[in-house]
Amino acid sequence: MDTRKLIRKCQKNNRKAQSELFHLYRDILFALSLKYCKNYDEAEDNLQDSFITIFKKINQYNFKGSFEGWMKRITINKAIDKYKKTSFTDININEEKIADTKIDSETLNLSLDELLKHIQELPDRYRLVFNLYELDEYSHKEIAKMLHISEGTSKSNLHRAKVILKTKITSSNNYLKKIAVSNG
Amino acid sequence: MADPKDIGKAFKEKLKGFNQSPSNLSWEDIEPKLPKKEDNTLFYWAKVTGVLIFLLLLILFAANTYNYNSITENSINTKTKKPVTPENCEEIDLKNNKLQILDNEVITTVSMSPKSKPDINDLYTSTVENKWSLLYSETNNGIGLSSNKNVSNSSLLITTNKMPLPTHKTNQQASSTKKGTNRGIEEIKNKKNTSISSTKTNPINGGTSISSTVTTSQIENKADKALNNNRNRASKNEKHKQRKDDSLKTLIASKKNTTITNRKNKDTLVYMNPIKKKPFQKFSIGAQVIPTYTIAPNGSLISNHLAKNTNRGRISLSYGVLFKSYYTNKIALRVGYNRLKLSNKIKNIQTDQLPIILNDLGIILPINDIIGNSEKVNVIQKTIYNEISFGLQYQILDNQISTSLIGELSFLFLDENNIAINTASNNFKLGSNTNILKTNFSINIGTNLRYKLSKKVFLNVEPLLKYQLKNASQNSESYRPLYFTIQTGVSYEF
Repeated sequence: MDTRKLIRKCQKNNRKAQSELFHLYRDILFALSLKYCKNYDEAEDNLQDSFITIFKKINQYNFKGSFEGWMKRITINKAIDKYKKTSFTDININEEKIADTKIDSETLNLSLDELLKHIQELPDRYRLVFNLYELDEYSHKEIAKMLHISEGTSKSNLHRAKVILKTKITSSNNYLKKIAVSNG
Repeated sequence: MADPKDIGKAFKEKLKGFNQSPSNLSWEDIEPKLPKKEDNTLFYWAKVTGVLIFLLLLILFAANTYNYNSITENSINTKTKKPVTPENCEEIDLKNNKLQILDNEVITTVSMSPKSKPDINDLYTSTVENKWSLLYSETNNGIGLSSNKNVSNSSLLITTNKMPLPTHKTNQQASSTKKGTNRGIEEIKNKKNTSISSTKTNPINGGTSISSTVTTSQIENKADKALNNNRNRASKNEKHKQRKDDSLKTLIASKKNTTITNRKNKDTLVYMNPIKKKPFQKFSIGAQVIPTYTIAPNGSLISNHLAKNTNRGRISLSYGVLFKSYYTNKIALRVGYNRLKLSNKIKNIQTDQLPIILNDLGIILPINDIIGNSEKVNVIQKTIYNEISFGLQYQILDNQISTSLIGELSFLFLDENNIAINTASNNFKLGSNTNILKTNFSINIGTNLRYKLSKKVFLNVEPLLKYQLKNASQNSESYRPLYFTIQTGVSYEF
């Protein structure tokens, strides 16, 4: 069925159309939730909340702009709302020691699950800023408004997120190399 | 060794096209948590039905009250429009000596309630609209008016030659009036035993001038009392008497004399039998367009953050239908349905403030697409209500353009609302404002100006001021919209 027709039916509260829409976008939005949430269970909760909001507010979608983008924004906002409410304390890391956040593509030769795990293990605020800026292309100005922080804080959080990721990936690679050497 | 990349870019490349199915979440988990549209619709119609039943009960109650009052009423009606003369009578049935009065006519009545003193001077003129019939005798020396049997204890008397009213300003006139009055009453008294019953059965006979539904003894008492009163009055000073006469009596007397001179020289006996008036005999239905201007108050429907921004009302066009049921020619009950559209513009909102405000309403703002580099934007709030109104209308002027006062109470059911960003070139719809309350009610006052286009078709213009009595938004700041409407349309009476 044409997406436009499907949306129209969903706006009329047609259950069959809603089910079809859910199955059509479930995987995309779940992957998005996995990046923004701490773990698999929270990502599922976020996906469920997001779909409920999508169907409640689908009448507000006026066919201007991408429908997928509209749904992604709702999913991201749901995740942000959850972690925005929790208290956050900046962690101390030696940023000067690791000023460079570049990495060899060979070093990043990890599986998707491992990459995702590294992102999920980031502190909440760092994870949100990293995802918003690097993966979903929001500007620091927009991130600052969404998270109610200053642009400077957003930049700082992003840098720290990258430092943490680089450290983890490097140490993870070193560990794998040691295992490989020890195995002969 | 490959060129080093920024870790963010490297992650993005690796995760591009990453999809994964949730293992534990299915459609069955989500479906029960979705809103059920059917319930909302049912609730909406239940409310509408409730209001309509309430209105119906109100109409029935009002009709019963009106009927009860018309039976038990003992007060005197005093309205003068046109004198009773043979010339303005519609039909003359000589066989039965019956006159039917045209349009509005003068009827002289005296209330004879047990507490009031019967007095021949206390003659009043009342208008009864198109519903009175007269019995007319050319051979009698007076006019007798018979009230409806339902009007308790009332005896109605008019004298022409024999009982002129003592209301003229000069002593001579007053004196002649007094004599005439005495003579008339004495004659009534002399003939009362024979004339009362015979007049009703044969109005042409020589009997004089009383026809009444009261008993003979009651009439005797009334005549005696009237005679005594009149004698007492005759003994008083003429000046004192002149002061006592009020302007109403003067007016009645002058009209009465006109009537008398227009009549034939023979004495006249007129019996007036009011035909019982029933309420709600006339109805009107009409369609109307309604230019509506919102007089935006302080505060905001959208968010408390916008309470201090400039808020301007806008003109929008609503439409509706109106049904009227007339109690009398002057009082009408109104029931209407309008699809009422309201609109206002909130000006000079800081661009960086907007996403936070809209986020509270669950609206995601695509900033780059719409706002661009603007520092300030305007937001237009539109609301559409289904309005069910009921009220009363009272006619104050009945000329070529008749004028009435209107008082109404309206129930408002929110049907649609949306917010749009207003830029120089276009309006971008953002979504709906979830803060607006679904139901409200307003009080409406104004006037009705009605122009007769044909016998049954009228042009109506109704300027009305409507004020919502309840806060329209869930914001803590009070926001009660006030709006001015001009309900303009055509109505058909039947």
